[in-house]
Amino acid sequence: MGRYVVRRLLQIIPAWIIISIMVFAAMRLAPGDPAMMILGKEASRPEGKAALEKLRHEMGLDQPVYVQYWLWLRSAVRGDFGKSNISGTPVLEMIAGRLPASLELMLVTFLISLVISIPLGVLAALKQKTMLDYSIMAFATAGVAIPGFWLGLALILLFSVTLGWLPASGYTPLAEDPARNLTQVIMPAITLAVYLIATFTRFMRSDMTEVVNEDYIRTAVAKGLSKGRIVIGHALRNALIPLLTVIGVEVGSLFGGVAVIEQVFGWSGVGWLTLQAVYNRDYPVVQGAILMVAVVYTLINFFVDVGYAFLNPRIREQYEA
Amino acid sequence: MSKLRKVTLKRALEKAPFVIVAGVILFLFFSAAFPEVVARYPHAEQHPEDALQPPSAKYWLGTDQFGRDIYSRLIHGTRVVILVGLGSVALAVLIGIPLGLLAGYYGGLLDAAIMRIQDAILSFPVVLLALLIIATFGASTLNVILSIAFVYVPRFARLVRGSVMALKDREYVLATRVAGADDGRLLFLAILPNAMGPIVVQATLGVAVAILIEAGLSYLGLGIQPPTPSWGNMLQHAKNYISNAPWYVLSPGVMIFLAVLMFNLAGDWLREAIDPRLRTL
Amino acid sequence: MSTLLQIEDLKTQFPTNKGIVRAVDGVSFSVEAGETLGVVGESGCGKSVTMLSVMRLIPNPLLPQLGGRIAGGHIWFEGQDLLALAEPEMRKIRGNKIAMIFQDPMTSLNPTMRIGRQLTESIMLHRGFNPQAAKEEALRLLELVEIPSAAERLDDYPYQFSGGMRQRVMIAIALAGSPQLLIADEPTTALDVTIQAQILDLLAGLQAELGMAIILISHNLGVVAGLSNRIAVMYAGKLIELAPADALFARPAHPYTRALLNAVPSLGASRKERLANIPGAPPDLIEPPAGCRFHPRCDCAQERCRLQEPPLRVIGEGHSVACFTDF
Repeated sequence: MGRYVVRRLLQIIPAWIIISIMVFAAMRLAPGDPAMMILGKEASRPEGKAALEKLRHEMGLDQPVYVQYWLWLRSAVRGDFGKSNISGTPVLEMIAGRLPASLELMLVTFLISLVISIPLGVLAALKQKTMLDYSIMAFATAGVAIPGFWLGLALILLFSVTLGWLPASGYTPLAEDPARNLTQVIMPAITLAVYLIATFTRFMRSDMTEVVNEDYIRTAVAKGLSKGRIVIGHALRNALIPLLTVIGVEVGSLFGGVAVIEQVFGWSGVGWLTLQAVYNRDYPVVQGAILMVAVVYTLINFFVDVGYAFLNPRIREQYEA
Repeated sequence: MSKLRKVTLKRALEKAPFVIVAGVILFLFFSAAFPEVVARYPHAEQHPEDALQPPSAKYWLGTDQFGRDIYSRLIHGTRVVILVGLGSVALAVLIGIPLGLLAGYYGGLLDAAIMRIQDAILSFPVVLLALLIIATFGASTLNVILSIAFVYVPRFARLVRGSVMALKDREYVLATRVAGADDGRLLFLAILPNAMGPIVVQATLGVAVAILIEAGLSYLGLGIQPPTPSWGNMLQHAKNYISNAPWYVLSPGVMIFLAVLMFNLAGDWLREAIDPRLRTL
Repeated sequence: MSTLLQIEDLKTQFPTNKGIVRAVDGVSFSVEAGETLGVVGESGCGKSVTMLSVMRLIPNPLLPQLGGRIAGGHIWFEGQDLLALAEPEMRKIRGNKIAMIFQDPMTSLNPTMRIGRQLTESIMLHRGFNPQAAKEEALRLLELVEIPSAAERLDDYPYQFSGGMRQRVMIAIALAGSPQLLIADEPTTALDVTIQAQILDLLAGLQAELGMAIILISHNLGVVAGLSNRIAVMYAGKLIELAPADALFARPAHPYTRALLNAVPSLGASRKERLANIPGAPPDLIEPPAGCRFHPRCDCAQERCRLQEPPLRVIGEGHSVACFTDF
């Protein structure tokens, strides 16, 4: 097992290096001189030239590209992603400040989606070829086709504008006002969860069907165990393992969706921060945020792979025997 | 009803979903090619006195804040949506296939180098990478196509590479080589045709994803720029009138949903059609 | 001896795109208490499906709307027709009165559950023990099937056992409910030849000790020969010969049985002799041939064989055969 972990870790390093190069390249290729942007109009006037040169030197913009990359990488690894072009606040600080909101949203979304999709998928599998199965799968097929941001708007239309039950937007930290926070998180979370529920349900149905036809389930039936015991005690514990891999993949789509949904609902998370930075051409923030997300995503996939290898007895067999 | 009629009706009903999906997709292509035929008004024509009207006989899906017919704008918007959807996938396929062929066939260092880069691209959540590229190079139709294509290249490269690696040791490939074919012929005439199945499936599903991404980017103002209508950028404005013109918000979303659903279904069915045949290969 | 299990005119079918496969088409035989009945036949002859029907594992109770169905017949056990029981009633029989072990021990054990738990699950269900007592019983069963260091192995997962050991565990699980009948479906096919003999010896020993009846299914005559009191030969969904083991080997009646015995290579034969085989292929079970199902491949087929299906008739002491030939 240890060997597998090490091997997987070694695969990440080259990916991280290339990711960092890509993000850095995006930075360099963006139009406009960063120093000029910070100084604004001042820089274009002749008196401002000296200040511009000084700032450029401070920012290391007069060095060769590869030196700039190395300096940037060195700082990034230490957590220094530079400062916002607009506010001057360190990027890391800005991101850290908005992180709890995004984490809360993603966690709630995940919880909702797993709690709903797993039973739904199992049900569809066991009641295959019945109206129930067809209905569930129809919803699931539709669910993956719905554009998230539009669903958010539609939910706002229904629950805020028409019914007035829930606030249309806003974020209050959980610690500050749990009740208000809950009313604000529910719609964005459901919006994001719909796609995940649809995807996981479809997967669980086919996964469960496969598991139920396996030999060891036949053995379990031959032992005289009840259906409930077999489904929960035998089938599910095997069926949930591949689901882990699917979850790992879909976390990526969740990251993307979060950015848009946070904006729709005015939820002050990292996603909305990134979007605002894009609008404001605040490149250090954009690059810092995206770099962090990419790094985190590779780590998540790493843990998913290792977790899967650990749980899947056949893979364990290969590495332990 | 006679038995023969019953059986024929049943068979026809079974084929109905395919016909419907094919029909809608064809309608979308047609609208993209000849919007003037399907739309009722030019997309930029304004009727300020009729601004924000609900659906009626005059304006089938109502009007927007400038009094433009929403139905017509949706039809005109089909062009850029299809363009982005098909264009980005086609580009990704054109770049991804050669990469995958090279990596899978020659293996070794070339394979490692190509695949490490593909892995890195795959490490970015799709939307965020497109966002990064748009943020760097600016928002335009071309950049939307390029960024989605960029994000999709690794997926096709991986697919092709997998197929190549599985097929290159098969007997018919060795037989072709013995007959004197050089690497190029081998790759394109012997191996690639058999790898096309999964590629077509992925491409169809990819069009659906491309439509969703374009819609999202346009909604954020980072995709197709006005005045070119796209379903996504229509929603960007629609959200400001959510309380007084709900039809404005609902119809573009339904369009997106329909288009994505059609390509998803088509892709799923293609996958089912291809699968059993693959097993006998 | 009393009759433990009586299968009467069993018919099991599978719907497919091309038609209904009649995998078991009117099979009848019985099993006496304490005896070992061998069931042989080539792949696809219906021997496994017959036994899966006895256990009502067809269709899979978790997906009853898919797969095959038992189309007719009766299976008498302890005065009840198993085919008429409701599912909860049948559950009381499975693993308890009748137990079954399967061909591939690699895939027949739950890979994510410890062996001990897979055992105690059955024990607690059928014997009503508490967890502690169940654990002790599990230990005893593992020792009964000769698993070394049983106490440590209770917490192991299936992947930590070898093939032969896994099959022993399967047997232990099957014995958890003290069944009166053990159905062993090709228990040795997936194992090495040396292990095969060990497992068969184990089964013989367990039977002697516990007095249960065993149905031993195999396509390999050798496996069945050593253990069986009686042997049933199946072909194309039908029972074609049933005889005491000695009689079957000494005086095989049905042409198929004789061809089977002929096809077994013997150690003393000259190397120049070709291996005998049975020409032709097993028939299509959707549209089986009219008359005797074996007639297209039979070298003594008569006109009658093409038109009528030969009924099972007695030709000797406990020896019946479905063939028109005069024996």
